[in-house]
Amino acid sequence: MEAVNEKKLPRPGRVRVMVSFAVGVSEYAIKRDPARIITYGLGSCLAIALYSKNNRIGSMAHVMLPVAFDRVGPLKPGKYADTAVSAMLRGMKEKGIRSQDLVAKLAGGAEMFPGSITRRIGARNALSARKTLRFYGIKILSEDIGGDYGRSVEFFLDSGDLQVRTLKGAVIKI
Amino acid sequence: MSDNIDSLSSLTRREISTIREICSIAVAQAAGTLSKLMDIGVTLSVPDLHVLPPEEMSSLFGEMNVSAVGVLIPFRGDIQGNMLLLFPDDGAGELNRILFPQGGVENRELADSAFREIGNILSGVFLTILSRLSGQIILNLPPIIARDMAGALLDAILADIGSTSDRIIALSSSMEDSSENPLVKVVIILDPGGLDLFLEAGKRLVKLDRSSHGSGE
Repeated sequence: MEAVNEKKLPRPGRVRVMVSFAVGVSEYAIKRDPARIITYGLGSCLAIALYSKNNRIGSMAHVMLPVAFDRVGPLKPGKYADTAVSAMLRGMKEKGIRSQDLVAKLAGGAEMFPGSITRRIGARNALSARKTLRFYGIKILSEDIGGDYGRSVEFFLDSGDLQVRTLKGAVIKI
Repeated sequence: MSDNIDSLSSLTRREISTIREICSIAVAQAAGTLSKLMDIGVTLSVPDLHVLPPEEMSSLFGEMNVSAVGVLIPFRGDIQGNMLLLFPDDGAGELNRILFPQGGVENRELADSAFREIGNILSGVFLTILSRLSGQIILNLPPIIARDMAGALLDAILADIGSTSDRIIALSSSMEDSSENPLVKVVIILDPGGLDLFLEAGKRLVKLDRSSHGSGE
């Protein structure tokens, strides 16, 4: 009779179910592992991901514009890089995560129609995110920024990996 | 910008329908010209008028993670904005087969040149009609082409306009061949500054329409 290695058998009641959450334009989400946060079709928009390795909690925003300036009236914090970072930090704080426990990753900020008369939103989104993160003392671990192609991003909360996919076939982890 | 939005929301249903009518005339002319040049039957739907925050606009155009060919035609002058043609992969392939029946689809440069030309024709005819009806000067700039996720292509344009305005005024229409296969989505995004002129043109047409029918609303 063949010996059975008990360590290799799945333990009853320990099935790991990973839940996926999609974040739309100008939205952000805060989730705890086991989960992944996904966002599609980043052009000049930017994905900002914050991660606490010790707590396996992450937050991702799909921001459209660099700064909110002095906009009045109801504001969607996930729309702007500066207000998104602030809102994500507030949400993390409510879950007991301090900003010094967090690291950041960035993806997106492309120039989809190079040579056109645009306001270089992609590059400005990245600049604003870096500046805001620096203000809060959050280290940026990695980035996949710029170029002239779109990106879709998956943020895995077990590892903190950010998987970036393009239509040209490239899949990278940052 | 809020003034422009207020002026749009204060328009009567009849005035809004007149604005759509201006665009329908322009779109029909553009479709007719393209149809003649390509020697196939194409139809463009009556344009929908949207006034929304930029972040809500992309959801109106369906699946955004799919591959598409985007042709951007900025227009400048008294009325400014961008026309974006989004060819879904199937539509792009279908158009290529129509344009190059003897092959050549695999030649990316040739195909891109054809897409630019379609952009020139659609925007040229559309903006000429718009200019004539509104009495304003409008010039189209050379088309710029990009192949990528439909969402990423649209997102770039929406963010650009969204940086100056909390709401976007857009017209959308779809072009189909005679078998109702979707060929291209046409999205026209107006810069807020030109909206007043556009609305004036609409109001003038409403007055003309009223006087020709001899009755008010």
